[in-house]
Amino acid sequence: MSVLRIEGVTKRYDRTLAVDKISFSVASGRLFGLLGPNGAGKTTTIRMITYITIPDDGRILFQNKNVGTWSQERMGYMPEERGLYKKMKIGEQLIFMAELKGLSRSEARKQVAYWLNRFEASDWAEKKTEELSKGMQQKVQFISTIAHNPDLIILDEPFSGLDPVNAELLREVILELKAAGKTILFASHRMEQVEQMCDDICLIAHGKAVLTGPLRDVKRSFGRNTVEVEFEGTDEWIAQAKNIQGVSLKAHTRNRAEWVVSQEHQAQEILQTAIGSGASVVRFELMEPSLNEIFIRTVAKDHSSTLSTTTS
Amino acid sequence: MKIKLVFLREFMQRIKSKGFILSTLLAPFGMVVFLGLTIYSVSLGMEEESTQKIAINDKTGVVAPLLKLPDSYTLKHGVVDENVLRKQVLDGTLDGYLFIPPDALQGDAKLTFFSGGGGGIGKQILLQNAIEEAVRAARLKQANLPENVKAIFEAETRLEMKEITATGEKADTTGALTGIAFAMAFLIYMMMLIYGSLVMQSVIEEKLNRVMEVLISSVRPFDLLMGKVLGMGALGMVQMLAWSGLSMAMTTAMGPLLLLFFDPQKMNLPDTASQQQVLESAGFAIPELSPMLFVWFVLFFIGGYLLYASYFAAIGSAVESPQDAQQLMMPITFLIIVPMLFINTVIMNPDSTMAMVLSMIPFFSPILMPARIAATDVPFWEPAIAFILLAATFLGAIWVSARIYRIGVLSYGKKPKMSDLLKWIRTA
Repeated sequence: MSVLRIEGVTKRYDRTLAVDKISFSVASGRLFGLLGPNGAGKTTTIRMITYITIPDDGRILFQNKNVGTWSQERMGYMPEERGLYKKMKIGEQLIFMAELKGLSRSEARKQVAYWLNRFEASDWAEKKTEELSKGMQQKVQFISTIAHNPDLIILDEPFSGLDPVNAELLREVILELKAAGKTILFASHRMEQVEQMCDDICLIAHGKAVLTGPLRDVKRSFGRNTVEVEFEGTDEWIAQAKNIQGVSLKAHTRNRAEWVVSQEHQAQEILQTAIGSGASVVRFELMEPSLNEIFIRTVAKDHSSTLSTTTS
Repeated sequence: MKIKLVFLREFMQRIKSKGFILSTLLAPFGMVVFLGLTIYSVSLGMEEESTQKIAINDKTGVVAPLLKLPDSYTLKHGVVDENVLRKQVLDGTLDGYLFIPPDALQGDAKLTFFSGGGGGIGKQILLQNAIEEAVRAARLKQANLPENVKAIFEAETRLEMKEITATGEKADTTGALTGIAFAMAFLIYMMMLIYGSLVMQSVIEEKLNRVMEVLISSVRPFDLLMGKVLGMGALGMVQMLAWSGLSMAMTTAMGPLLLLFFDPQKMNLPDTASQQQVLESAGFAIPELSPMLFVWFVLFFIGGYLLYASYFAAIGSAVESPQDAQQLMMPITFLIIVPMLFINTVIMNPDSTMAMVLSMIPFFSPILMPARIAATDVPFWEPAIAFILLAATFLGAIWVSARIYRIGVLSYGKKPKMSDLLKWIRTA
């Protein structure tokens, strides 16, 4: 069941088309990745979902109703640019944010206390933001996003600026929230993170949705087209293999070559060429393309056919 | 509901701040010290003059002996050589010399005072008066008039102002009321500027902190704008009330203090004169203020603050630093300053048509109307209409501001110009 549906949404700023008839839907309880390079229209799309701005065209349904102030209370949004009141005490600040999301004061107090405890941060309640380290502030920011127990959690580039320890903690909490049945939409241009975590993706470029669906299906649709060969000995075979119809060399180091093939049987030809030339093959693998590669290929293809200008 | 949350946060966070508590408590003390020093320096000025050495070159021979100057003036007679006198002025032996021409006792007389320059307007007025009296006295003497005619010229005439009330009469308080009118105008002017720019800074801070985007994913921009403007306004009211209370307490304490500076004998009052009498004759009669004046003052303060603060908030939303705001603030600060240019005219002639019209204009009325009400009797309908106009203008202003704010809070990077703001207002 989809909890969020974007239907033909368009947003224009001045004369630039930031988002161009985007449609996708986010299923309940899934981790959804909104992917695209900087300036593709991710933040614009999120701002419309969170009812910060309103689409020029199309509609956005949350739990089958048009988004509005009511849906703002059911969502938690952590923008890419994080922000807290510098001179306000953490506890007061978090309670204020939760109250703005419609919680009663006593309920807000309870939730904030719970989450501060969960992040082992109860001693911070009486401290001001400016007294905390960057990493601590990130945690507070995250608590302010989820303290009101939202159904949909929206995270814009959640890992940017996090050190490895905090990134790992955030990853754990995100997966934990997912396990608790929350729907999570997360926007990023860092493909490798998405690949590890997301169930479904929507790829946007130049304001358009160019690929949508479950991550596994998307990858499968591109076929197993990447061949990786690790070898020892001569590398003469590489020059020969380049001549095989429909094969191209992607990367090449002393003992490793990565190929892209258009059909799976060409992989066997590459292997035979290598063995025939006398090189000893250590590892041979036919793989699905990485999301990064899918992305680059899709955007490159898309870009040649559309020439729309975009802003973020 | 959410306006209330934003309002409470703004109000509670600031009322607890050290800056607010200190300025609330210390400003009245500062005012009293300032007032005290002013009064003290005036009383000093009345008694002490810097010593002056003046020569008199009297060609009539009769005016000089009649010249009455304060004790601090040393007069030198006899030297008649202009060149010598000029040299003495230049080398500082003399502060100046007075030339009385031989025809000083006929027709319109023209005497000349030569000096090294400066000395202030006080000295000029003093000399002018002394000379006028001396010349007149000399002419009276020469005319050989009967005593009763001389008495006519020497008699003093004074005007005492009394106000008739239902129960009798009382000393006129125009002087004190004028002071109150100025004080009110100045207070509203200050509060609009200070609290207006506080609102602006507060908006800029939320934008710089990047807290804004989280806020507007929870609250409509209009609620955020109104909550902030109202919260800050309430803070301003609290501060004004605290100041009024403290000043009242201090003026009560100040009466006896003032007495230290005024000697009843110098004012031709008996030693036993009461505090009230002394203060009254010194021009410090304490007027009874009508409660309506206070009501209008508060209403116009609120109206004026809201009108300007909503604009300040809109400007704050558009920029990322107070420096960037300078240019956009120009039209607004201009509108606040204009009534201050007219305040003197309006308070001195509060019943004139110009004063009436100016105090009706919505952008000016918050400053001018309470001042007029303090300075004279204004029929009820005038402030009533002025206030309705002000309220209507505020509604227009908040509509315009909300439209700027809505887009401003999301715009980063480029410093917007006036034309950008106008475009944002037109954007649907």
